[in-house]
Amino acid sequence: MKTYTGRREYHLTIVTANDRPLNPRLDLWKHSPTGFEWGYGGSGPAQLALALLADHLGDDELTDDLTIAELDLPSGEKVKPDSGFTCVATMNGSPNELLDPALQDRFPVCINIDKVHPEAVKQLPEDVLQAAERTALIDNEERRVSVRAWYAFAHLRQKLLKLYPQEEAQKLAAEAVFSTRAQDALDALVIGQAQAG
Amino acid sequence: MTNKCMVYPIPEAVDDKANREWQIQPSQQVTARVYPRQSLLVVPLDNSAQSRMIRNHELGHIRWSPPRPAVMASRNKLDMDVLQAVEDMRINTKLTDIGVDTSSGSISPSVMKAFVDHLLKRGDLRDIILTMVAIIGQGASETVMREKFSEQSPADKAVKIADMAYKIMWDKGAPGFKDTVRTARWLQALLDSAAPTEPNQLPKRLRLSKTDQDHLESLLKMLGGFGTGNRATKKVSWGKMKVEIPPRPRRVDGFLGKGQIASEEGVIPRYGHRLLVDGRVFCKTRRQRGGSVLIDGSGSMNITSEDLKRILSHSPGAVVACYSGNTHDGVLRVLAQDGRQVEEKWIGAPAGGANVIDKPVLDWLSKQAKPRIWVCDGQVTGVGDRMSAINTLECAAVCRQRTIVRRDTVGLAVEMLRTLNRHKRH
Repeated sequence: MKTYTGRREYHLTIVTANDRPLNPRLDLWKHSPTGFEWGYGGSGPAQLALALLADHLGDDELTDDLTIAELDLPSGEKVKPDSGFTCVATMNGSPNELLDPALQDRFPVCINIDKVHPEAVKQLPEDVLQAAERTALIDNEERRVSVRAWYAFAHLRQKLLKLYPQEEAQKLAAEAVFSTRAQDALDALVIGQAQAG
Repeated sequence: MTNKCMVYPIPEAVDDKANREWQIQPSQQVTARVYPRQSLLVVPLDNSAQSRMIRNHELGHIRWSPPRPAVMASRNKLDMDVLQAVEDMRINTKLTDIGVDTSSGSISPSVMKAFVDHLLKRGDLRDIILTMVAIIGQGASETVMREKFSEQSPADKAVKIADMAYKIMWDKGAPGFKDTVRTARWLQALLDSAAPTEPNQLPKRLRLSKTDQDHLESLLKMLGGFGTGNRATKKVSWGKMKVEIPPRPRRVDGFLGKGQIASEEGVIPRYGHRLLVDGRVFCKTRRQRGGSVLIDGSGSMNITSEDLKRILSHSPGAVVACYSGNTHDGVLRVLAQDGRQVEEKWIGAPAGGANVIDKPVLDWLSKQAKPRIWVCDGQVTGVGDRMSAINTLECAAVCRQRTIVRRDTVGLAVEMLRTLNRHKRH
């Protein structure tokens, strides 16, 4: 078992693995050329995390160098990225607040999506379109209603129409999807459909 | 997705403006309301039917009301509370019309009963009328209020007024905000004309005098005759008034008016401060010049010069004037003033057979000496000799506020003048 030790000497932070200085692995990524640090979420701790993992894994599995990067699958097969390999990921919330700096650093381009994808709302019936577009992006989680929920409501309503009269089908679908907000959602749809002014 | 305790409404689904980010706050101690310019909705967030009604009502405001009601009220010269009550009625009834369930009302029946009792106890008739108007379209809440008010006079008038307002509002189908303004103008004119002394203020106590009750009753009867269309809600402009003062060579003896003077004799001392000055501490009433009589000389009155002479002979010392109008203007002719009368050739209708200038002549009359008598059948018209409930209410308001007594016919006016003249002293 390896023992990792960190200590401070004057302004320096020294980290050792089994009493030998830990390689910061600046060759893999230069998070912090000035050295390790800990206790907060900055570049020094990111370099320390990288160095610890690289040392622990014994190889360069975390490397960003595509020529040497590879991943071991549970089947034992090794997968190597093709040339021009890039990774696109989506997430909810702000990356600055929610992502570890080291991970965030690997996504140099971040795009804030402030509109629902047109293809996603295209599938919705007209009466729920406006509501879906605007409620899907509300910051407050308690108030937000996802496009998926609106889609589920519209889909279920369509199915129930074969079994129940329109009003009942709509009510049942809303109750199934929106729970306590069912009647409010239905009322809002009715008011939204009425002519303004 | 949803907190079990909080049921959030969805203003985004009803708002026409796509870029508004709505904030929702629970209305705990505050009345539910919407601030469109701040994109703030303050509503109760519990799961009761009444709270849902309130949420839907506020969503209705977002959908249908203008963002700055205070500006609209001032632009249309309306009291804010009147406009607000009528707009609330529009929102409630529109919600019902489009199929939103409003049957629960916004307040539970037991609380509503207590609220109505409190309103009746407080006795502000203006509040009662406006609350009744605002509650129209609120299912159970409306029913409770309607029942309670109908049991007690004159609160029962509030129910009648609210029903009339509703008919006016929905006269042309689904109402827009312009219908709110139309109805609010009508209601404002009614409230002003029912006010006995000061403008815009009905008596604080529900114990209206019989005269006041009769007055309110007659106003409602008159308004019923105007229906719910433009004649009920669209004001006709008043014509331009020209005052004609012919020479008054004929001297008339006698007094119609009354005055008070200090006297050494009497029963109850009134001017205590005069005890050391001249000892005239008592008040004595005596006849003196005063009083004013205004005669409507339009065609509907069918007044002859003989009728005018009868009035002149019974109102010595008073200001007597007759008026009539053409299509766009009218003439007010002073027939007697300062104890002098005009020659016979001037005694007659001064212009055409229309009214047109009723309100301007009443304003003139309100500046003359008391008692003020207006001989008119109550049919007032504006430019083009057109009638409107608003014009009629305006005249009624001036009469109430400036203590002008109206008499329908010359006969009734002469009878009243006789009563005033009974104890003539020269």
